[in-house]
Amino acid sequence: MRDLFRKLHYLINRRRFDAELENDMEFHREMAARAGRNNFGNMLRLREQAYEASGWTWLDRLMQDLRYGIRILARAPGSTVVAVLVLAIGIGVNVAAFSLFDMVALKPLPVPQADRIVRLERKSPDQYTSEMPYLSFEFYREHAKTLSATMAVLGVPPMQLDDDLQPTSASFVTPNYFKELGTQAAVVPSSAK
Amino acid sequence: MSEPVSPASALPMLILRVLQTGGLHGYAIAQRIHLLSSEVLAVEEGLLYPTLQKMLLKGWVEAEWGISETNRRVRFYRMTAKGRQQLKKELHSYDRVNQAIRDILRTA
Repeated sequence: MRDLFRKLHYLINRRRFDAELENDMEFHREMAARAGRNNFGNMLRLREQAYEASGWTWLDRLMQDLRYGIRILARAPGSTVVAVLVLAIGIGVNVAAFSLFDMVALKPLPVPQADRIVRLERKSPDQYTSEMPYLSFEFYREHAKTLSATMAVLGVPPMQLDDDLQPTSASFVTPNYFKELGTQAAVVPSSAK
Repeated sequence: MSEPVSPASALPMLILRVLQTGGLHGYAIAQRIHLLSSEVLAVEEGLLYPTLQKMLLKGWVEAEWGISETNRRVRFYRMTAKGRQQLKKELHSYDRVNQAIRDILRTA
């Protein structure tokens, strides 16, 4: 952890540390000159080497590449716009499709305590169904000890209401259907208590 | 004696060893290495300072400002506790490698 802090410290104060190192190297050269050896070398290359040792050159290169890329794209606005559009459409379509799928298939049922709802099914070696005679449903309702409530739904073929041109799909449900699923019926039959 | 040799791979170890007795500025480190090796080894500034930079980054040395013999403000490098550990490690590894090389040269 302290290593990271130190490295960040060096990154943030890079210019200052570069200057300090340059100062050290100049001093070295002065002392060497006084001792009679003029081993100057290539100043710029030396500073580059010292900088490369700091370990953050990848960041600089990344920034340079990004700036170059932007410059090149700005020079060819037409193709840039086309590329952006293609990307946008491609990403947009995928996001829309996934959101749809997500809503339909992946999200849990939008009812309270969705993880506590179970559907009873009957199975044979070849098939299974969640349909059962009403009497079975009643049996489970009376005798099941682990169920806090039992609901049943009966689907019926679409029927024609009044003079509507479109048939209406309908289902019949037990009276506790709406209450258990945490919502309320839009119209309450007058005979319900 | 022939041309001085640059101790590139052992340089961090040599720097740490030289700093064991106290803080020195860059030129003094190079001088010490040159003289203590009876002028066999010579460290170029192009190698010394990047190495010192790496060691600063790794936390093996720390730098503090001081005044040189020529009345100039310059950084003095000093070994840290981490550097002391690293020196121990490198001395040990250097011994092992040397012993291994000697074994091969002797018997192969």
